[in-house]
Amino acid sequence: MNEAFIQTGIIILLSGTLLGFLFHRSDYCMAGMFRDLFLFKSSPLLRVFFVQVFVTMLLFYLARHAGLIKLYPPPNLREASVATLMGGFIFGTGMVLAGGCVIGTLYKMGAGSSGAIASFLGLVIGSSLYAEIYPLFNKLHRNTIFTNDILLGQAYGDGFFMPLILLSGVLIYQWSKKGRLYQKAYADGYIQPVRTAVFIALINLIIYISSGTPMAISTAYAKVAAFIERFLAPSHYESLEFFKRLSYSVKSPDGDIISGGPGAEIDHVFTAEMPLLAGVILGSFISSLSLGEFRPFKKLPPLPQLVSAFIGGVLLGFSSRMAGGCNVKFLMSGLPLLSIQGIIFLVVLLPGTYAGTWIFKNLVLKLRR
Amino acid sequence: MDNLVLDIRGQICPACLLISLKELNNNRSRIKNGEASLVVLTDHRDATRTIPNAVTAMGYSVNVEKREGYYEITIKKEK
Repeated sequence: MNEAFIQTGIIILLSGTLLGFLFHRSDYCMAGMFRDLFLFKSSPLLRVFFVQVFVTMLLFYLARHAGLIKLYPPPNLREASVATLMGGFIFGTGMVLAGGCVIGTLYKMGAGSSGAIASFLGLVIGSSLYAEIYPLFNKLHRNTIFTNDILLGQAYGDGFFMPLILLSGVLIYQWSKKGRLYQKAYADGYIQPVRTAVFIALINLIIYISSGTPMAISTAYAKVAAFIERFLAPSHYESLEFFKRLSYSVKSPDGDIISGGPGAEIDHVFTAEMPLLAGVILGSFISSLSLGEFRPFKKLPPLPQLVSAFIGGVLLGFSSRMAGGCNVKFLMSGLPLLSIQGIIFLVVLLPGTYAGTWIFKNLVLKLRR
Repeated sequence: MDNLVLDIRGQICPACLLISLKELNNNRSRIKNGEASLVVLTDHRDATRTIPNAVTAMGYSVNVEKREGYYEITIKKEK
């Protein structure tokens, strides 16, 4: 643990706090963006997410060419496999049942939502369940890798980026001219989601430059599980291969060793993800408190919804470890880099979200006509 | 005019909009005639976007007020 690590940790904590604040103000719910596509056949916020992905793509592209990004591809992305397919599908179902994604759960919890507390617990438990059967899924991943390339650019060259960025720029300009990015909402202190989208892209760039890895968060849940397990059942913890492995270990151009994994260690994953997790909760807490909207445990959701949130959380924790990441790493960071894992994760996330929407509507709310 | 109060505070997404729409449909004729209005209590910030959007598209008028830590969304027949 050197000074640079602490400095990075502080930058990420501040970034996370700002993110949590913005997420709460705009109610920037990625689970909702995808779910509403199936539930209401329209999702205006998905356009906003598109803006986020392409602003991030532009920023990462420029920063890479300006020499600000040291590790490319970033070490926290890996090859896609059948485990990505399975994980992405289950993740889609889980986020609808949980009522929020991996980061949505954090900002909702920070604002005092009891449902989000249930899905947070589920996420930690889901991550620890994965640790029990990790060898099986690791074998599946190793044996079913589609290609050794991590980014589309490695396979087909860098020529994709400029045309994609230009086309998206034109599309976004059209939307903005027609007012299709603007959201009418009556919530106090509402921040237009499209502003939040641009801020997330900027914050992601800051995180990538300062830590060497773009924004990711779900391994932090596995780490929380690891610290708890090591404390409660040290001998069992020691017996689990999952907590001993390293997610990545690389040497950066300036000589730092960047390595870390899900285990209960203060490593690079800890520095890059734990302050983000804490920051998002803190930022949302500050936002809701300042609006007089922080009312923890005042009203509990009906039991079926609470159970749904918990089970959804378990699915999110389990599936993000199976896929090797969650929507934050794959969609917010991976898509802008044209990561093959990110693209595949998005494709399978959609049918998974459809399944989750069906279950929520018909089994949890019992709204069958 | 009757105020039909629907308290969905604490419920997780997307329950807010779905339950509100169901309640609205169940009382459709009374609300359309102006005999009743539906008052939804929610602590879900996004519901102040989704519910007004959906019900204005269905031809109702809507009013949102902030209360102590939650929002009160009143849905009435179109003025």
